[in-house]
Amino acid sequence: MFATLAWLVACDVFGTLVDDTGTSAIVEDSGGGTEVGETGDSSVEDTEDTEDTEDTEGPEPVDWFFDDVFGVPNIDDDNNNRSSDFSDNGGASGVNGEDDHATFTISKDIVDGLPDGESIRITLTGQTNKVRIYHSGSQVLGQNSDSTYEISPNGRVELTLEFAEMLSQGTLELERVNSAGVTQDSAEVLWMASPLLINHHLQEAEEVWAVAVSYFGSDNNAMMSDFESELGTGFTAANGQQYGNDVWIQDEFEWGNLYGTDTRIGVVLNLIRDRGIDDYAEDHMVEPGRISLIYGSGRASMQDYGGNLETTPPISVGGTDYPLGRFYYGDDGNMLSPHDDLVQAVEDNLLQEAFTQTIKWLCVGHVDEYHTFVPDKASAKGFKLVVADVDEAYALLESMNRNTNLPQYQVKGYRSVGEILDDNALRALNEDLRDDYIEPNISTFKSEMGLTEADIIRIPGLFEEVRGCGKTTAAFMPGTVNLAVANFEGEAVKLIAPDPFLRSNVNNQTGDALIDAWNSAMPASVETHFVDDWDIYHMALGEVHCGTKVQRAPGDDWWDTSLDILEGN
Amino acid sequence: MTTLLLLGALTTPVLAATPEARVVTPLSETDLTIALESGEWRVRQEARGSQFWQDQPALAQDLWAVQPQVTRAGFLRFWGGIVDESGAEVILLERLVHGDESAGVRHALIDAIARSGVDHAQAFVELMPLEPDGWVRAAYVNSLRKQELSLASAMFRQALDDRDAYVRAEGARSIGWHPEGDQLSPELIAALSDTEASVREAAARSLGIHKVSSAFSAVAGLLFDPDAEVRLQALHAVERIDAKRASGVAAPLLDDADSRISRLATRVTGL
Repeated sequence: MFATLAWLVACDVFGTLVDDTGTSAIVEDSGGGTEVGETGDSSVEDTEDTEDTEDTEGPEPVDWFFDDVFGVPNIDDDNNNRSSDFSDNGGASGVNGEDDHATFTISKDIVDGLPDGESIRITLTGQTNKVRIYHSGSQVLGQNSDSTYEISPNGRVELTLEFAEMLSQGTLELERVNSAGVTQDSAEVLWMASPLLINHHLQEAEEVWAVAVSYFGSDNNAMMSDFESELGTGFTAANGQQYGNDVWIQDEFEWGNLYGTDTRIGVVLNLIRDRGIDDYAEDHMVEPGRISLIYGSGRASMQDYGGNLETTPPISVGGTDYPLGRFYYGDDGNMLSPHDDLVQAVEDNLLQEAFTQTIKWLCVGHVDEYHTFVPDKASAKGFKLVVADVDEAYALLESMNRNTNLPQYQVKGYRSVGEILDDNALRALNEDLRDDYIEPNISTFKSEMGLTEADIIRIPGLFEEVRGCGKTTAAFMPGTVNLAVANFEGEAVKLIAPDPFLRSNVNNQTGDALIDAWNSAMPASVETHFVDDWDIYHMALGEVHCGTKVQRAPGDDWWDTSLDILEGN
Repeated sequence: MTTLLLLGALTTPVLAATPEARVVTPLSETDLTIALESGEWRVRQEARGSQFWQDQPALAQDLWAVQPQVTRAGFLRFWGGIVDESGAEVILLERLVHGDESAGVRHALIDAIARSGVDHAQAFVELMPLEPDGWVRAAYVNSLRKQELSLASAMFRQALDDRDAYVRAEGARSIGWHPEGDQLSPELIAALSDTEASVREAAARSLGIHKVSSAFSAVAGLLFDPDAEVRLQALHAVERIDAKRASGVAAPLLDDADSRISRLATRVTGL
């Protein structure tokens, strides 16, 4: 954002769409514009001109200053013709539902302040083939058009910018030109299209999805009811019968956003998992203002699934800020990696630098199986890393009466707390997982996120081998950390977590040792609701997070926090 | 007559029974009583199946038809609903024996029967060698981790001799989970020399879990195995068997390229 300070102008760059009036345009051929000096480099003529202005009874001196323009690539489908709107070349904002153009306004004050005979010359530079600029309903600059546009307006001027791709960028040079064609002042405006930003848990929830299923006497109706009662209209239950009873909606999609100062497109990454729920995005999520993107092709690995693709909250580590968080995923090489195209897509957007975790110890192989991030307004960082902890689990079990019956765990071969404690193989397994994988993963979080132990909440959690998965593991107790963060605007932060059933009376959560431990460890600002996910999710090697998907409001304004990284890329 | 025909048929490894046949040829009460007390699992199973079809035909039909669902890991599993009904494992075993099911469904049936908590060891020991798919055979093996040792050991020994390394590894691993698995230490020590790393790894791990002191040297020999997973489990094992002795043999692994191993070696050696 550059400008000379010759004039004081109240500029209304991102105002609502208003028709211009009384504007005459002078279009020059590309490259035919008046040569100007370096941005912000006022010439001697500027000074003289300013003095001339001050000597007259003309308009008040104003800044020749404009805000930069940040928008979204116009890659949704507002006109429902099954192709992206930019490729449609469908015309100006407002036509056929088009609402994704960024707005650039030259305010009436500026225009009124122009000395008689002066016009405004706008010169487009940068990725000129990745933008179209419209004025009064017609394209005047950009792709397959001119690079210079000159106008002699009588009132406010409103241009709209339509971007082709993520991170399309360039500049607009705005010059005051006198009747002799001499530049009196100039200002440079940066324009840029949003990068793709994957959501993190500190962004406010907007909509939560889960898949309702019912077959042969088994259903998740109670869990769906819990979601509805806790989340109200923010919750949508997909009809699982239409989607192969595939409850793993977390794994099929990943939500993110493209957004500018006054535009936004929700992005559902339609992962290459391609199982039952796959078509739900196209059927119910994609709409004007929401798009589906696919990165990669061919046979998916388990690491291509959404439960393995997460984003940290905003962090600062080693002097480097990550105001939009960092992308991370489980990756152990060879067949245990996400598709290169998917990782590259995130890396291409520059702001959520990725790091990895090791997941080969898990049957499913997803990072969401052993940790999560929960908002914590009381902490300096604004969140806590919540991890499944083996030592905490054994400490909790050892604090319980050994004879405590655990009816829910009988299908796992354990009737009581004592039987769990006495299983040396289970203990050995968990101690080794702790030493070989879980703690090293926590160390990675610490180093890559600048965390300390004070940023971590350790929750009792054990893992077990799974019949059919060789030596790899899944949550033994329902993985309470495998939860959904539902933090709707203006409401308390709600965590929807699996009921661990670590108690004798499966029908009464009161007195559940693990729930009590959880509640005493969680930040005071969050409410946790434990739902019964045992049959449909836990026994199928997943939990609540695996069975839910959350779209969130955009995070911080990337143009305020991260422009230095994006410019020139 | 019915009983004789039934018992005669029960000696046949693969029966031709169908759900419909159960309904139209119920056993008499006397025959049923005799069959239910038989020492032969097939006879008991046929009797229980006949009884189930007679008493709860609709549920039996549903259990015959119910399909497993896809787990998050991608393989099939039964859970909840009618599969949790009392006695459901009878029909599930019937499907396993008689049904023309895919390997994925057979695996799911074994898993569901095992989770029922009802004694299934005798049946599984007999059925396991007949199963053509190694992954499914491994499920049989896994399911006997907490069953009576006399039956489980027969299964585990079969597994350790299996042609498929995946099954051998499951056998070695399952011995580690069995409370009396230390009685199969000689078999585990022999498995330390298996040509497949996954089997050596599992055998070493199980010997460590059972703290088989006589296996220390043999396990320590795997600390230099070319496979990192084997070295890791061998190091875990020697630490469990004798932490003090382990500290004397782990030093060469302090610089192991695998960070899990070097980290563990640091702990074991105290260096």
